[in-house]
Amino acid sequence: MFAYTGKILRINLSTGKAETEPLKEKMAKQYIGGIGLGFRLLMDNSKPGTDPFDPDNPLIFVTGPLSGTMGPTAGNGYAVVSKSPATGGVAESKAHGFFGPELKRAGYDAVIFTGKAEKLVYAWIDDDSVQLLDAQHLKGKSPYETDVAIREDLGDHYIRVSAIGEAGEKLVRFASIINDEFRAIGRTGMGAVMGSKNLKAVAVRGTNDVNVADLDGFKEFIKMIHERMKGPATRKYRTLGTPENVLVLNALAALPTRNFTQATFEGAEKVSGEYLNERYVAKIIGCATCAMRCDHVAVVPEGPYKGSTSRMEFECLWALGPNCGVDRLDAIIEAMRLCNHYGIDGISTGVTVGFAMDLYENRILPKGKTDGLNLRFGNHEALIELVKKIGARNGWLGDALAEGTKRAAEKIGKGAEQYACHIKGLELPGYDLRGLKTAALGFSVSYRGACHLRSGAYSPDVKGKVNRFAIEKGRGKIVKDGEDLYDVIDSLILCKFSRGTYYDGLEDMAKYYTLATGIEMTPDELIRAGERINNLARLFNVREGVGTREFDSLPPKIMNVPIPDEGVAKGSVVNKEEFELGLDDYYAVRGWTREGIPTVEKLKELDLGRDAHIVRKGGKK
Amino acid sequence: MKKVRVQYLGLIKNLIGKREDSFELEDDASLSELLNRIAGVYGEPFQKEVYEPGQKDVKMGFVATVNGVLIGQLRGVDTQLNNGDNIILMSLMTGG
Repeated sequence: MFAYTGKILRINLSTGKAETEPLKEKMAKQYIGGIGLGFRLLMDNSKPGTDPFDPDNPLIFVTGPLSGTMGPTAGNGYAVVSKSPATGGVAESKAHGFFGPELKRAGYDAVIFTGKAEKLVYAWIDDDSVQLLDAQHLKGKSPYETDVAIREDLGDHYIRVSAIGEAGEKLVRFASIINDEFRAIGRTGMGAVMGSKNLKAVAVRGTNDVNVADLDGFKEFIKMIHERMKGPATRKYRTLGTPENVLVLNALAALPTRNFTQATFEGAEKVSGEYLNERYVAKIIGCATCAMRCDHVAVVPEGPYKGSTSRMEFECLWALGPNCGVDRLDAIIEAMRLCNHYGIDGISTGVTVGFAMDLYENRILPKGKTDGLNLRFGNHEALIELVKKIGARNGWLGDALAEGTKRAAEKIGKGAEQYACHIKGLELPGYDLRGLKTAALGFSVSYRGACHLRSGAYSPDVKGKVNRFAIEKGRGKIVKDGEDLYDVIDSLILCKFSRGTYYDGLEDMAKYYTLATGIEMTPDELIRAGERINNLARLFNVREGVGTREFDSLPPKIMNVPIPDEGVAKGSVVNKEEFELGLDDYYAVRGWTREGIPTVEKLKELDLGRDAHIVRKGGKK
Repeated sequence: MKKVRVQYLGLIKNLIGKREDSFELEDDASLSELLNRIAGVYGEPFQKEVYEPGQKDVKMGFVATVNGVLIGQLRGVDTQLNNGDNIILMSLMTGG
């Protein structure tokens, strides 16, 4: 095979044994790579009902077919797949940078970690050589400190490292894995699964070529993509970056504020992309093989957080800012730096802090349980301290919140669940779903929990293509089409910022795939693969008992608390009737039952017949 | 005559170097007349990136609202404007 290495590495952390097995062409074509291949390997290498922190839960690092090539934005990614400690369902997250291509050049399409090391170790993959090395001296270090230390220990600056911080070691359920200082496998708690295996880091050095099938054609194609990347499709990412969304969403009354209490933020100007770029952005950098350059690295120039440095993008800025009522960018940058330091997801962290502040304001969180913090919305010092407590599981509150909003609400009681903004256990990103209702449907059915990146269903809402204040028949198809396409994108591991450069959509993507791999792929086959991958992810959730209609829900604040802000969105809330209509519409277009379970016929149609026993048994054994 | 307020956000604000304007328009003016006026004032950079006079929509990557409502849910650039209307020209929201 071209582009693929044809090799899967299996490392048992309990025994220290490493072995390889072949990746067959049929599996490669059916599941593409990235999250698709990861889901297949997860399904085939795990038993139903396995706890996410059980040594038998596999942690799978996967590259894409284009990883390691010179393809822009697709040449530099990798994904991590497992069972999520946040949702109990299927988990995936992707990151770009430089780690993914290095892993591919080391010779692997995927690495499956199973078992648990006796003490903290890191995996050192040097082409064919695989070793587990002592990492006791790295305990408590941040991902970046770990990265630097490993490169120094091994004496090779060009080693690439993907590592967890203290939060992963302490099983914070939304712990991340970070490579290249700021690039995070952020969502669904993959860092905690890594920590549960006593695996501090994966260090790789790859010196093999990744050969493509049609070199001339491939070069011509990526030259065209590079040209398009200079145009309007990526302009926003190259200039102000995604923080430009702050004022746009605020203007649409769709910027969740103070834990989804309001939909506009009076301090929006002070935390806007415009303000950030004028005062804090010190440099803009890019990933391997990418000419877009979107990483806005911000540095605080003065004040109490002077010197604090972090990559900034919209979601985490929103979560740690408006969602906590904080209007100081210096504090938000420091909070984000701390998220990177401990290795925790910035979205889930900010939403969890906002949840705690909401409980405090509503007198649900008694003063004795606040770890001594004044948790009023807008208190930036409390934000900083609480992020530290969560990252290190310090104090009663820090430890409770490290479980995520769903479990923390159960622990706190007194109706706290009414304030917990999550879907399936994963915290919401920065879109007020009360006024973006296609997005509301899309978020609710996402297999990894609340997520804007599983379908992009906010897009028709914010373009004005649909009435964003209603769920109507037809939205199910919009969500399904978006999901299948995003499953393709995340299996090829194309950077989503570049999605606009594929002017001919699936046709471009299929061509890209075929030029690289030599495997004929039509646009129809590609989108069918996306549908297969989505159904497989849903099947995993069905198998684990979290994949039916009752789990496709929305948080109480989205269903019960109308938007209070004056203006076009005032009074909007998702009502039960329209939501149920949306679910029916979505399941029908998916070919699933009214309970949201894929039918045997649908599975056979997608060549997933061998997994049909899961739906015949009705899920978990 | 009627008077409307126009706000520019993000890239558009940076492009024309201005945060907001107010324009006086004929009584029967629609959004397209307003956009043509803005295109005339700010010339080629605005026309090249945001809106070309006579076109039926703003360019890819941008949206407009009239009193908070996206023009896709109104009559597009044919939307009639009223005295005191607030128009916002801004980038399309995209996540990632």
